[in-house]
Parts: sequence; C-alpha cells; structure tokens
Amino acid sequence: MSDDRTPDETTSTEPTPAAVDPRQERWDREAAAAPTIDADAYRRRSRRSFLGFGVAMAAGYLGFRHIQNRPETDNLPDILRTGLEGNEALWSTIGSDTRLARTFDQDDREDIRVNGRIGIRDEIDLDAWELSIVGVDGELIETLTLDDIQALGGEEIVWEHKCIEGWSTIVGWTGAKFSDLARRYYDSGAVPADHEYVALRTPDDGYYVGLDREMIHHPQTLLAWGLNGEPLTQLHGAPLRLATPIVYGIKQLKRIGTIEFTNERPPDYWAERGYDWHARF
Amino acid sequence: MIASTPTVADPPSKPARVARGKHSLTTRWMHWLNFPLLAIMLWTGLRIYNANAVHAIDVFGFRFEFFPDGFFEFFEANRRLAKGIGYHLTFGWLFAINGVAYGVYLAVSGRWRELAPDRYTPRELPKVVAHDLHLRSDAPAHGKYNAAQRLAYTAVIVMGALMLLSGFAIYKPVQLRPLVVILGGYEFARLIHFTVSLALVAFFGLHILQVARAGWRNFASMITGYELKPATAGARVGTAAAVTEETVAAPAASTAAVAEEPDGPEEAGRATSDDEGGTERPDAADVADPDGGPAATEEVADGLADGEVLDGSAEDGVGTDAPVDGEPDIDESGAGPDVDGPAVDSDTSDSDETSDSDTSDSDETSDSDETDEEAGR
Repeated sequence: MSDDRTPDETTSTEPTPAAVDPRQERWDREAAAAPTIDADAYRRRSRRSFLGFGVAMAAGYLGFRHIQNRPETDNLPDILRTGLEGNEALWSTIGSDTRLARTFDQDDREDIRVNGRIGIRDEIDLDAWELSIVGVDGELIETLTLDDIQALGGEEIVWEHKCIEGWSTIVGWTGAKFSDLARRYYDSGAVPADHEYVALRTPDDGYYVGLDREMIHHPQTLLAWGLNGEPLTQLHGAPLRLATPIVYGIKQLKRIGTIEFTNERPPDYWAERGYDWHARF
Repeated sequence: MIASTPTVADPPSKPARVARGKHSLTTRWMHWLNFPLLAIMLWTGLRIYNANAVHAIDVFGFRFEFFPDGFFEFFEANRRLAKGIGYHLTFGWLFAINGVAYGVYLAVSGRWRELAPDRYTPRELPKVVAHDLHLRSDAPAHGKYNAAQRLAYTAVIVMGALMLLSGFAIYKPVQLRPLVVILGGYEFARLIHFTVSLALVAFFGLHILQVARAGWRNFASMITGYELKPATAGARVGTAAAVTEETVAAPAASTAAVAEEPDGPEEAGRATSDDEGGTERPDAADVADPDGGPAATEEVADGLADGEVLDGSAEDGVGTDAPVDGEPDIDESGAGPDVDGPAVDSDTSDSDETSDSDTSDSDETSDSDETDEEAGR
C-alpha cells in the first residue's frame, strides 16, 4: 500500500510520516466486508433497484390514497376505524380494567374551562331534574333524585382531567361511585350483572355517550355533583355528571338525564363524528 | 499500478469503476418505510396539535406561535382532529414496529458501531460542522459515518425512541402510568412529544440538505445498496486513501482554499467528509485494480450514464462525489478520479503554487488533531 503511494507523494508537497488512526484497522475491516460489484453489475442493479423503489413508492402512495377514500364508518375511513377497534382489543387484553389513574392533592386543583355546551345549552330547573334508570329491555326501572345519588356516599378525588383536544386540567370531583349505583340494580335483579354497556344521555338527548361495563366499574368512575369543592355549575354539568380519569372528557357526559344498562353498544356522540368509541386511557 | 496513475495526460489508464456495498437491504427497507411513515405521523400529529395549538415561545413579550394559521390551512390540518387521531394511532404501530425493528437490527448486526458516537466524536464534531459550514476546509477522516453523522443518526434514533415512549405515555396514561411518571408527567410527556417532533422535522431538513450536498451517488446508494466509486488504479486510490485516512486532508485542502475559486476548495474538501462512504479504502484500490485496464474505460462511461446525468461531474470519468458542479479546475490540476482523491490530490498539488502561510494556518487550526500533519502518508 505504501509502495503504491510512493510515486504519488512525489507530486505531493507534504510527504510526512504516517500516524495511523487507531480506528483505521476497524474501518478497513468494515470496508473489506462490503462487497463490490463492477460498473455493469451496478448499472443492472440500479435499474432493478430504482424500478423496485418506484413501484414500492407508487404502491405505498396508492395504498394510502385507497385508505383515505375508503367508505367511512362514523366519519372515519373504515380501515382506521378497524385500527382503533384493534387498539382497544389489544389494550383490553394486555391492560387492566382496574388500574388507577394518578391522583393529586387538593392544593393542585385548577380552574377548568367550559369546553362544550352540547346538550346543556339551555338552563334547566335543577329542582325539577330527575335521573331515569333504564334496564336492558329498554324499560324504565325508576327515576332518582340527586338526594338518592348522594345517599350512595360521596368522596372527592383529584385527578388530571384530559381533553382529546390536547389540554388537561387538575380538578377535584365530588361524587358517588358509579359502581355502587349499578350494584344496586344487580342486587335487586333489575339489571343482569353481565350487561355489556351503559348509555348516558342528556335530558334533551342532545349529547349521548356509550361506556363499556368495565368503565363504570372502575373505582375512580364517579357520578359527580361537585367540582373543586363547589356544587357543579350548569355549564359543568349540574346537577349530575360523569367524571372519570380513565377516558377523555368527550365521554364524561354532563347533566345526565338517563342511565341505560344495555347489551347493545350505545351510540356515542363523538364516536359518530370520527372519534374512537372507547377513548380510554 | 504506479504506471496507471491517471492524469489528464494519461487518459487511457482510467480504470473501471466499481460499486461498493454500503447499505444493507434491511437498512434500505427500514429507511424508506420510515420516510412515508414519519411523514404520516408528522402530518396527522399536526392535525392533532392544531386542536389545541398552545405551544408557543415567549421571548421578551413577543409570542412566537409555532405555526401560523395559513400553515394549518396548507396542510389541511384544520378541524381534522378525529381523522388525525385515527391515522396517528393506526400508523403509529407501523412507525413503532419499524423503529424497534431497526433498533434490534442495529444491535444484532453490530452495525450500531458504525453510527454510535465514539470517543473521538466530541473532538471531531466541531471540525466536521465547521467544515460543512465552509468555515474550515479540511475534515477529520472517518469510517462509514463522520462525527456529525454519527451524532445525527444516533440522535434521531433517540428521538424516535422518545417519540414512542412519550406517544405511548400520552396514549395510555393510566395503563402505562409508570411511563408517564418517568417522563415527568402527562403534560411534560406531551411537551416532549411536541418538541421532539420539531426536532425530527429539523433532522429531516438537515438530512435532505446534506444528502443533496453529498450528491447523487450517495443518494442512490440508499436505493441500490451500492455506491459507485470511481475505483482507480492502485496508486491514486492508495494515496488518496492514505491521505484521507490519516486526516492529511487538512493542510492540503486548506491550501487549496487559496485557489482562485473560492468555492473550489470547500467543494473539494467536502468530498472527504460528505462522502458518506467514508474514506476510500486501500482495498478498494486492490479490488479495482484488476479492472483498471484501459479497455474498461469506455464501458464504464456507458455504464454510468444514469449516475452521471445527475452527478454532473463525471464527464471525464472523474467522479467526485461531492461537487455536483464537477470542479473542472480539479481536473486540470491533474486530480485523480478518486472520490476522495481529487480533493486531496489536486489541492495538494495546488499547494505548490499557493502560499505556505495557509498551509501552516491550517496546521495551527487543526493541531489538536495529531494526524493533521501527516500529509502524503
């Protein structure tokens, strides 16, 4: 090698002694390991590779366009809807239904914005409000007042309320465990304990959400009447709303008018508009 | 070999070129899968971000929002949160799988050694950067990747990992609560996710720029797997290799900085660092040498048509990688056709006519590099 170089050095102005970079041996080894092909082979290979590359890129683009143009299920291309449902299937398999969300101190509580008025635009007479409980047969089981719910017991839990839009606020909710209410109907036989879903609707049916049975049995899922130590305002869902740290805010219905136990997956306001039906953390 | 030393005066001795394996099939597939996947993730991530575009930087009372409204309009990112999430959480798996597979591949194949920063990286990085910014004419010798590349390619893996971790933390903050804690909480995980996505865009921009600078053959190698090298007869290549390997480019290239054409030396010098194939190996010469007969010349010229069209530098079979503009002055100065060669050799010979002060200058600037002075060998 150095012999080969010698003549060239005569044209070089600065022939100086070598100091071999300690990495040189490894570089040489790496380089030696790389195969070489002649220019003809490279030309053939280039042709093949670029053709394949072009075909693959075109296929990828067309595939993506295909997905974009798929028929939509609830305003989402069906492949993506399948993707979201697949995600839920995965997480309901590897995840836990009872894992608790992080809680915070009362000092951490923040004011929370009013982000949605759907289903609660008009003020209602809170004293006239009542909650309808509907069984899996679609028949009304009974109606409850706020006192009935508060009789289940109340607790305040402070957690980070998360909006699917991308903001979060630490707030304290006061309410009764949803599972305590459900268990009352299981015990009385009014609702089979193995029902699959729960549907919640505002009194005007303007906003509606569907929940998996597991969601309402999560220990932090509350039927809440208080926010940050104060009674709920109407725009925050008075007199009673869902509050849980295991789903996005779009699922946490304000001003609940009806709780329906059901075995059919309930319609869901935002899921119909392209969002994940589960929206679960 | 000596006899075949190619010069302008000795055209028939131009030998066959060879292409050297550079990127494995695995690497290429993962690279090109990642390109559309990252694009989809960034695009849909923008749609998601736009639903609550809160991040901004306040500088002395000026509030710098990252994206003007027109930006969202242009990318059709307005009021498309639902679809954005649908894409993001579906394609995210492919992005994640591809990224993890790449990490595993690097680990198993041992190729991580090619791109992990080593103990030389901190010292060499400023030189490479200065060189690329045309503030310095020489650049340290390197293996497959130079110091800046090692840092960038490693950083982008770290960024990808951060994106996955923070993305999963945002996606399943209850199921993956410990992860959220590790990342400093939900809000901080969001901030990481957002910030690193900007960093990825920055990487992408820099990557495109550097690939454009490095030339067609380097780019093509990510598709074909092979990078065309104007493999020359041994003498030239051997010299070039030795010169480059020993970081001798320093005085040589900086000398060339004196040359009339201000761009010349940088372009030439760049061949050293931007040639992502790294230094031309002595064994490249060995391999090439048998093919190096005059007979091969015509054939090669034909065979390279596609590369040359874009390279623009190959008219004479002088295939410098970096200078897209072909650097005719290098040819005239009798540069060898080697990738690294023209820069080094021509510059070196140039230095005959150019001032010594510059040469010594460069020695000074680079004297921290103990090999800088070893010109010619």
